Amino acid sequence: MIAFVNADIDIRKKPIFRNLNFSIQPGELVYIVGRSGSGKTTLLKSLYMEIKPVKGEIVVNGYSSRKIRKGKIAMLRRKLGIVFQDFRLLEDRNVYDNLAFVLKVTGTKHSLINEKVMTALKEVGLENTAKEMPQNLSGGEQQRVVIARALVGEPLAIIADEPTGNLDPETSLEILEYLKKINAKGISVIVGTHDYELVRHHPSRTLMIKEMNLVECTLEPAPADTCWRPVPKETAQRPTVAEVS
Amino acid sequence: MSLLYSIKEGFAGIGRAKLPASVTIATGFFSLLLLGLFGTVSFSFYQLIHEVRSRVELEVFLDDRISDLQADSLNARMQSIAGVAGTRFISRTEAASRFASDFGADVVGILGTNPLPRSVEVSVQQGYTAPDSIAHIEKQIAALGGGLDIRYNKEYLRGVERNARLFTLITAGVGGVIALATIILNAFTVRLAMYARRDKIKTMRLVGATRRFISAPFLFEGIIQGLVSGGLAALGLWLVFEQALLRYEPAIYQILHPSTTVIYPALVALGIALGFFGSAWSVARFLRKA
Repeated sequence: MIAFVNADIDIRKKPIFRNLNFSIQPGELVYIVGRSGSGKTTLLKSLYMEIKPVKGEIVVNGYSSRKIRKGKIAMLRRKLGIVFQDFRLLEDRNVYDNLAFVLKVTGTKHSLINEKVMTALKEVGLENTAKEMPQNLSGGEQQRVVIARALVGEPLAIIADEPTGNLDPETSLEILEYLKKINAKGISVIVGTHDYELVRHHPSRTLMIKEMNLVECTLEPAPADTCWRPVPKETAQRPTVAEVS
Repeated sequence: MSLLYSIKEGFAGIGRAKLPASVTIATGFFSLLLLGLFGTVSFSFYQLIHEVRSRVELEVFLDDRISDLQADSLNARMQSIAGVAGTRFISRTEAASRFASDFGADVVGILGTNPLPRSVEVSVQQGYTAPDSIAHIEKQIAALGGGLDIRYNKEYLRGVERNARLFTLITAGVGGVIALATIILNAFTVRLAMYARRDKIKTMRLVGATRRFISAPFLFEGIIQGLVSGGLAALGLWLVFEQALLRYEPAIYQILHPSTTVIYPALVALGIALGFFGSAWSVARFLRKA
């Protein structure tokens, strides 16, 4: 579903990643961990093609970074739900309209929008806040709205960039519970975080950014984390490129 | 994406961002009103110059030795010269009666004979009123032969031309500056209003909205704002002319009034164009960055 094949990623000509080779299968919950500034956001941005590799290839849902046209990037993003640390809700419209916007973008029938929006809000326990403006909600509630917005378009994967970065520990755990619930339905969830405690609480496949690459890790409760091997090149399974742009 | 959605979102966008929308409309109103006032005055002066030019006539006096038949022939040939709008033959008798009405004296009664020559009044087509064109017509008439004496007010014509040229230079310069200022002011006001919404545009991109889906409502918003500012500027101009000028300066009103029928719709159209292109430019810039 997601594959990085010999991918080099630069930001303003500065190398961030070199020779990335890994894949994420449908239904996986994967943590991307690393220190602040290590490149977590850059890596996640490359999943929704905001950043493209300077060398190699990234394939997401059959869309290849090499061949994708600008117009098709929107189509790819419709199949991904993106969750941001700073929420990025449309503050000039209420919670309901924030979710409805995603469906209008995809041309969903007007008669289905209400049902889908309310179902998504119910999933995150916010069905009573539909008429609220985002800025009137707490940080945790806003992040749940963002998760509902990511869900409403029935995505194949959710990409969460520091989803708990602005939240207290208790609310952070709650948000991760929601993400795990979503993952249990077979939707891939990729979480970029530097909150190792959170990862230890809900262990799953973890990739740590080290020396411009990713290494598989187990974050033990012990003082030192164990990162036992770099992701070998041969584990990167290259899916069929269904979309020829 | 339906047209109805874009229009509804266009109106909703104004409702959601009342202050930026008000600033954009106010800027558009004042700049278009200024442009409208200047345009009306310039347009009226052009019409005035045109009117003065259209009154230019050549007077061709015929030699006494030319027969009436030859005179008719000359008259017909003058009519066929390029740039001549029409001719009018003035007989000796008509010349005498004109003299009597102009000077209040019967020339035949005083002198015992009519010394006034026959003549042809030649009026000129609109595009041939410049001094060079008239001189060319004069040459062609002279070439017809028959000792024709051609007269027209060259000094007056040169004066009109000189002033028209000066006026054109001034109006083109000032008008250009005002028009440019209007475009820049409006474009940057729209861009500033759009700048406040750059995060919104970015978020829309990230949830999978296409460029067209994002920009269409903003374009309608620009059109609506332009329509309102252009309409208000036209209304302001109407108040200046139809209320203030008509009441207090009816003479100036008479000169300027005919131009306003063109200026009113022009202001609305310009407002819409500024709103549309200003929004298109700004959204495109932010979409490129998003």
